[in-house]
Amino acid sequence: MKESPENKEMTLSDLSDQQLVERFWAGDKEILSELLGRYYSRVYRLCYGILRNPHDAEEVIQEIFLRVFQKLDLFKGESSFSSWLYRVTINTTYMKLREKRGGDMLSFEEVGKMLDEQVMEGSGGEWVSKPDDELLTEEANKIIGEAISLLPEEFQKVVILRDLDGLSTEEVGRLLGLTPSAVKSRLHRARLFLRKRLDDFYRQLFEGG
Amino acid sequence: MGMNQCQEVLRHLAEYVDDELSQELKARIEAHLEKCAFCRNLVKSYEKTINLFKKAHNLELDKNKLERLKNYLISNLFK
Repeated sequence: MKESPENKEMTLSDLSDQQLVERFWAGDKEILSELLGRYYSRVYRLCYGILRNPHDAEEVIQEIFLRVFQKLDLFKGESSFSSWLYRVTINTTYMKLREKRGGDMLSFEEVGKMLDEQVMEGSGGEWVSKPDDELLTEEANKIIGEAISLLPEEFQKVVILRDLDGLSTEEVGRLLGLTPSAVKSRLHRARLFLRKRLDDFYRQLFEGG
Repeated sequence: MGMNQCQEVLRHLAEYVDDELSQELKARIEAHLEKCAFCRNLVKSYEKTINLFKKAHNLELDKNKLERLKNYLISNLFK
């Protein structure tokens, strides 16, 4: 892009991701800061949502951004910068997770079977009327984390991208190569699984049974 | 109360709370919800679950971590 007086007056925050990416190799550290400012929190939340450990999340996020910035010249702008970044984030973070974890994940079929058997047992105890602040204890946080860790990757990715990151059904489908109906069905099952875990936990806590 | 209608609510729960249903199906589900406490509770617990899941990940920006990342990248990229 040519420098015109107009351009000079623009601040970096006015530029699109694509424009920032094009200027990156001018060696401008400000551009690095700007892109990190836009995406750091979102990428960190994804990494943490998958790895469940702040130290591991910090380690992997270095790898992700380093890889992304090193390969910026390969980035042709065919998809948006953000989907490319997300793709690298997911691939790198799951690679890390596979290195670290033992064999304690449920299979796709197991989750389906558990849900079919359990979901209609109870539609939600009295906890559903309590305020979130009262419910979100450290222990509840742990239950949520464990439930997510138990889910097979196919479910985890969908629920994390949809509910934590707020991507649309279509965006998640494009990112993961799934049809919208596959995204919806996985999202639903992941939410039901999480709901069941929380329901068991809170019933025990509040109703003693 | 028809079990079939409860099954229908369960099947479309995600689309219902995400507001992705056709008007017709949405109206049918809402009519059922008015009559069925079990399904009302199911919807409520489902929505509550999503909220709690989100709130559990409402991590505050850790400026130290961001600074460390920035320094790491600068030293590795701009040699």
